[in-house]
Amino acid sequence: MNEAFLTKIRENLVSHLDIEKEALAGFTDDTIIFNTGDDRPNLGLDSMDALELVTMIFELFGFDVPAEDVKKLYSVNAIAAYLNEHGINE
Amino acid sequence: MITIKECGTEQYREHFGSYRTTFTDRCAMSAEQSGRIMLAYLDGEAAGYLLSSNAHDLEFMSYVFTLPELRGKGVMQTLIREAAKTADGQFGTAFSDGHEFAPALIHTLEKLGFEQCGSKYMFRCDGDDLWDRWDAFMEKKGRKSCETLRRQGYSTVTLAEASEELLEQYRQTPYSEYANPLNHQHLILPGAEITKDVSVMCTLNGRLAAYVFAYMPDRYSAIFKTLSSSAALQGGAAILLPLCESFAKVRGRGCTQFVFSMDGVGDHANSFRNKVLSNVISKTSKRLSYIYHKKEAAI
Repeated sequence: MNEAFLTKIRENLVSHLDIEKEALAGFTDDTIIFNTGDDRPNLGLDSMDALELVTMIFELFGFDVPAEDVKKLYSVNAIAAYLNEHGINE
Repeated sequence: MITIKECGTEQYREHFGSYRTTFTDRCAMSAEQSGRIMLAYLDGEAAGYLLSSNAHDLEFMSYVFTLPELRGKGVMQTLIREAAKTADGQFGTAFSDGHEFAPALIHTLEKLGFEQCGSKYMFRCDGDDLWDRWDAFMEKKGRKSCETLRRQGYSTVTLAEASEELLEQYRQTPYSEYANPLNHQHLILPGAEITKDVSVMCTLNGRLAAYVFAYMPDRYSAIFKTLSSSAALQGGAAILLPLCESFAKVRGRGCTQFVFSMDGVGDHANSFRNKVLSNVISKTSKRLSYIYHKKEAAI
């Protein structure tokens, strides 16, 4: 995946959403970003954050993520792959 | 000696005129229509009253009162015992744990064999800057989020304008498929009043996704009885859209204060409360529900 594309997603994710500083310590592009309600490490984002993520993607890339696809945006790499599938890669 | 008699609103007004409030008058009217008004006499003198109304299979005690100078003589306990004993079905009540008489009421209810059957967070929202705080949230995040939801295909309709098909979906959907459903044992006020043109349903592709049901007892006040979203669509914050619409509608009518309740047991509900509702919350308390099972308790 294009590193500049990943960086754009990563940096906007952190700047747009309320991510706790402590959580960022182990933050990788595969880290699950939403609170999964189990023991898996994640960034603890919630449904309002998911909505903001969709808004962010619309503002950055002009693409509307359908409601049923929101759950596919579970990590930086997953967001990049999803957008790539829809012809967005920069 | 304490004696109990059922009566109408005339006796309630006659004996307790100086202690009446808009709330107790409304409870009394509801009690006269669909429940009971019970007066307690201590040595022949009016000493207190109990108001109840019937909702589904539950008789709900909406208010109980003892004259200040006659408190501590067992009037409240006798009223509640008599009402619970003579109720046709289940008998229950709900009240705020922040009320000054809550400890005494809890003690009495548990002594009589009532069981706590639920607790909900209650949030009071008021203050001169109530709508300014909400506007600030909308400006920062809310408006954009609502626009996103609409682009995703979510749309809203008031309960008054909802199609019969949508209402049927609501009626047919099991409570278990929704978060924080309206439960008659958790009713805040007697009856099941809903103000249909400020209550809003939200749909996605024709399917009911979320709903906000509110009741306005007067033009200045609103009670948000339930905020609920489909379990299948949880995680998308669809509830924000009907909530914003409903807030706009009660505000348009002149509402300056409101309360709402939440179970507060789920992560989604808690984060929604922290991210959205905290912008307007002035005071938090817990609403405790108690129920009396006639056959099991030894009153």
